[in-house]
Amino acid sequence: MKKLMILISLGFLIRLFFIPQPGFVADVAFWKSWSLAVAEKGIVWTTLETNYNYAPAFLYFLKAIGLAYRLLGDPTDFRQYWQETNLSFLAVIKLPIILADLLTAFGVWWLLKREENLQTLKIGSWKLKTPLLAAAYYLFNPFIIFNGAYWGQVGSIGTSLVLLALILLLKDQPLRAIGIATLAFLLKLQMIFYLPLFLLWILKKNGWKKFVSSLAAMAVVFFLVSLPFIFTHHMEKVVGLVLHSADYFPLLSLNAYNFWWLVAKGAGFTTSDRILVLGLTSAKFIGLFSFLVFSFLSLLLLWQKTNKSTLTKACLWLSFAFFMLPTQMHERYIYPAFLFLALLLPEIIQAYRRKKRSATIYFYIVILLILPCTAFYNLHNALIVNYPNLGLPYLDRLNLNSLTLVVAGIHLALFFGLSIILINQIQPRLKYVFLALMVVLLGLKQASSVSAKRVSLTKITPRFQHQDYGILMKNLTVHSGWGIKYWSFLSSNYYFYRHGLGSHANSRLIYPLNRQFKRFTTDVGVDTQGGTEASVEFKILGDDQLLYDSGKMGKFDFPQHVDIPVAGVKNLELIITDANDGIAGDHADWLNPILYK
Amino acid sequence: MKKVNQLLPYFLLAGAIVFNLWVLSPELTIKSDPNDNIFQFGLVDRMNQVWQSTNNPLSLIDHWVPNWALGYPLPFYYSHLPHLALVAIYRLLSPPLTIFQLFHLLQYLILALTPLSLYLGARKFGLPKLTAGLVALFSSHLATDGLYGIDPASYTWRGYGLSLQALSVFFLPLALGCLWQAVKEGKKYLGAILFLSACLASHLATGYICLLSCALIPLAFIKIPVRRWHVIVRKLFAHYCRLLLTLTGVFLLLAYWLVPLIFNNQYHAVSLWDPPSKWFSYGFKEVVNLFLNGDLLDYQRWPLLTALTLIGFFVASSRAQKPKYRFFALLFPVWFVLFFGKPTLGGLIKLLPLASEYHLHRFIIGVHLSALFLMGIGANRLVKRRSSIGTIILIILLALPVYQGTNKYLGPNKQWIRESNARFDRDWVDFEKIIQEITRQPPGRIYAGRPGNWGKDFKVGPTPVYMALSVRGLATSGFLPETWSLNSDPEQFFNEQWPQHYNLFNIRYLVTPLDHQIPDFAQEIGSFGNYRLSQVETSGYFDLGYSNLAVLAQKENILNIIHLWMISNSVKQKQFPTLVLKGSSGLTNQIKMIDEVNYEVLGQKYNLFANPVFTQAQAFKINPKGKVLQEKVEFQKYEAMIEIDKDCQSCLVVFKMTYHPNWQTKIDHQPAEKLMVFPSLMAARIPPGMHHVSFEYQPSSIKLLLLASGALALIAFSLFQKQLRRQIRF
Repeated sequence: MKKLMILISLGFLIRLFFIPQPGFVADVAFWKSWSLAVAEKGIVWTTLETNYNYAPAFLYFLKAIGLAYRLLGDPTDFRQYWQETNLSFLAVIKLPIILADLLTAFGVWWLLKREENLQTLKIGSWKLKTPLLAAAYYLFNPFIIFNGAYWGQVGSIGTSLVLLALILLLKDQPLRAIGIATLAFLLKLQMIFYLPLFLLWILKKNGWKKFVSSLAAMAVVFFLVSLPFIFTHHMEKVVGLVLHSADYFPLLSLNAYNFWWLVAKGAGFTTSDRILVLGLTSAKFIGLFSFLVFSFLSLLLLWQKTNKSTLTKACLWLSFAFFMLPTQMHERYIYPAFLFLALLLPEIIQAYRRKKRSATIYFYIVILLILPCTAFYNLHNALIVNYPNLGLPYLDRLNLNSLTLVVAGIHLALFFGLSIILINQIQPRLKYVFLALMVVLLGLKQASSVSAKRVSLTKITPRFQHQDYGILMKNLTVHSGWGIKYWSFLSSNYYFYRHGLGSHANSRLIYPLNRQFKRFTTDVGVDTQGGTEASVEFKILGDDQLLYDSGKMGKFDFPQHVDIPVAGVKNLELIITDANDGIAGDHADWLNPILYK
Repeated sequence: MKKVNQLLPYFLLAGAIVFNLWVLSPELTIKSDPNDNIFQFGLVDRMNQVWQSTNNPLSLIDHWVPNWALGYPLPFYYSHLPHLALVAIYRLLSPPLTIFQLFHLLQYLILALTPLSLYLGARKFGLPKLTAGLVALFSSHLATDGLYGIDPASYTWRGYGLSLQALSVFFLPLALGCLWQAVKEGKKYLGAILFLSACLASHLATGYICLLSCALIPLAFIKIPVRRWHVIVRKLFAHYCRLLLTLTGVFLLLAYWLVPLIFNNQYHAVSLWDPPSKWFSYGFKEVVNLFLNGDLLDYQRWPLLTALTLIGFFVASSRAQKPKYRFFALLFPVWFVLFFGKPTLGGLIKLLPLASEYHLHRFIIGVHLSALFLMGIGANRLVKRRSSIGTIILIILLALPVYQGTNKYLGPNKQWIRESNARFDRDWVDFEKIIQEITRQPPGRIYAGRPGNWGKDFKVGPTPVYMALSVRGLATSGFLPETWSLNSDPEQFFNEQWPQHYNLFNIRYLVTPLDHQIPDFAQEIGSFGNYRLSQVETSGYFDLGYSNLAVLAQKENILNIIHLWMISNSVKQKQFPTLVLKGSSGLTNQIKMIDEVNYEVLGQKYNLFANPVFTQAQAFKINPKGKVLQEKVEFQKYEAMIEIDKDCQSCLVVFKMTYHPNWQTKIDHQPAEKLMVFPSLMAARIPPGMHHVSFEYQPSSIKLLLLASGALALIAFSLFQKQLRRQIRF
């Protein structure tokens, strides 16, 4: 315990040193603006009136931050408040993050020390037992220190709660465990992925009734967190925060050196994840699908062997898969993996010392040693890409595209190595049936899109979309975006269409065709719901070349038919302009748009 | 205290019914409806006319309804037994009420007694009496913002007046409960068949929900975890056999209605004027938002029933070792997911039979029904192990806000009905004169605006004039842009400034507000209070025409081409393209619609707007030469003497009534081949000379055969129930 306290104190001191650092300025600015809003105007108001896009329970944390800041400074003193080096705010926001780090380290130690056959490792005159070593691994991990104390990100809070849930689960307190895990998810949405594993554990260990009670506990926590929204009849905001924060930046990789970073050759932050990579299948779909496959595999792993070691490995696998496979991943999303690596450390040391030195053990050691460095490098680069002056000395010189690709390759190799090890632990019959099923599913999807001679444009997601009013509606008018009571079929001058895109001037859509199509046909016209004064112009561009121009069209014109060749076109651009007379009433539709192979 | 506990479920049931009787009592004073009940009463009124006029008993289950959308055989496609039952009660028992009062009295009783149906349904599932009582307690008090579920907004005067849905929902829990017993125990097949048939016959959409729900019943008997697969499969097979046997009985009983309906489905419109949400439902996000905001069960009040549903779901799930609880734990999520509809489930929804022509938003009935049972289970769990006093207090605390909510919603109902009745009494004096005047005039349709224009605010009491006229047996145009007649969608393109459209639809009369400018070619007959009656010259229900083009299409693809035809000179020229929805046409000049706007000629694809079919530049010329000399309308038979000039070699006689195969066409008393022409009218080829032409709607005699098979099946089931039980065993 004494040694632990020394380690924790040391970890705390290191972190204290970084508190004055402005960190990732934009993130801290968001904490400032949201905590100010939530402290002054309340939780629901903040979600309604600001650009808040984090998880719902995080609002409570921000409220506490906002109130705590008032004890140290005056948030209405804007000059002071918005200074990047506002030490009071940096302290208020970073201290809980640091505390969560320390508590996690303590939790790792506490959980592991209860195990039998603890191994001791000698480092000079120090004899470190493996729980202590695991705590130190977490505590002095450069990625963990940099992400929280330096950057100002809050991954540590969700991770600490996941650890608490895991401890409770292993202590046979499933309801509390699942309640805490749900809270972790509502604080940090990525933590949702551990819930199925925990629920499976409860089902296997505690039976059906406890499993159902756990689901009820999840519901209770969800509704308790959502109480302000229930009282104000705004639960749609909670749903929106949970669903839409996942699609905020539709790009291949948000600086995560993962599979998609490699695909984009280092341009992950500037490449849309709507690009078609397999026939008509987008990168986003492939990413999500493959993550889903690995999620199910981790569940299979736990299903057949429900013990602590497998649970930890399954969680580690899932953390890594989440970082590596889906698109839109941030550099910091690898965070929870270090918790599970720390928890696995004693097992690895034990196996090593008992001369069970298989390739697997060496591989785990490689991950343990390499991942903190590469993840830290990834994190640091992400910071200096945005704030070149805020990086650590010398390290900023290593931000080379080729090196980032190497690191992404290392991450991919580590992930596949881990996957091979863990897939091998699944019963062959089970995994082959499952994998075959997944291949068939993907194959069926591919086959349908490959064999189709004509494809409705509505089935493809544009890689860029913008319009000056409302949102792009599929098979519905733009006015339908107001809500279910306003839904209408597309029509132009009362000629009805079942398929198409309801839009509004000025609008621009870019579709990635990848030279897969020969012809494009569509009808165009002002929607029947457009104003009597509506006037628009439809234009179609193929790789920046004008292919069609409708001329000025009004509400009472017949729809126009377009039939143009698009062979060899990589990007198809659909434009609706306001015909230079303002956008009032300019509801305009792409009707029955079809691509032909 | 023990006695109190024993009697409590009955108190809850009685309380729920008494409250309903009180809070719904203003419904008995209605003089005019503002909602779907106008349509329903129109059908009752028509059934009453048929009862009086026909010698053919089959006409009672299949007759022509000329009131809307150029006529349509609504009983052929739509529920008719409730209307028949009502008319039978009226005719056979001669109660001291008008048929309108009887209509509302029965609806009132059905709504008030809904808790009884839920109570009995819950008991048939073997749920405890207190649970059943609690289900009954909440059964009339769900609340939505008019989502067509099992809530007062669907049924009452201030709501949608969906009286057939109310009737079907009354039978729904009974049908499901009996089906449960039939599948579980292999007995009481007859009850299950009768209640499910009643549910389907009352409202096909609600019956469909019962059918889908009962498909889950055998699954509820699978014990989890599955240990011996072969036993499970054998049991599952036996349970599905019992279910199938019951459904076969239902099918045979209703075959007279369902079989012709399925085989003539192409003459049943899928309207694009219906909002997409009706067809597709609302999608995952909207449904989840509705539920979490309490708007699916507790609109504008505390989400108590939503919470009880969730509690009930978890309680039922935790007791899932018992099949009845497993069923409800399964039923609610299945309906909740199905209610997401097409926006979320996409093509998967097509796996459900007939789903492509189903209003998926009605799946809310499944959500509501399953939620009601869960509420009872949840509430019972809350009061469990409490003292009698504690139980009663808790039930009161749960019920009070819910009942208050219903009372708050229905409070204005009473006042608004009173006010509307007063307005109706005031308007009726003049309106009745208009009706009398029209009935004195030659037969023809009436136009009094439509929902999309000035007609919406032109009313008699609370009822738009176009609806008020139609409900009194007069043929109107403009109302019902819905999923029945294929003419209901094109009819919305009627242009009141174009004389050719009046002639096309035989709109002879215009009823307008005094301040409404009537077209120059219309002649005023007279003014009656706020109403003006005018007349337009038409050729009557018959006209002459040509058809030199055939359009082969599916019904989903005809609206745009019909719209283009309606605004073209072809209407003036009386060129009526032949519409072929099934089979082929003998005409050489034909096009085939591929989708809403594209068509094919000799394998080449064209677009309606890039390559117009009906060119505007065609010279004005009325081709068909001849005249309609005499016209006679008698119940379901329309006759005329028609003179055709000798140079009119390929003339058509066009009968301005919606096409249906059940129309019998005769020329000079000899059967003649009938055609379907634009927009969806009847026609027949007619040679030069003077001819007697008649079109008569006759119910198909196949119905008699199917009715007989249904009756036999019912007798067989009642006689051999015991043998069936012995045969299908595990």
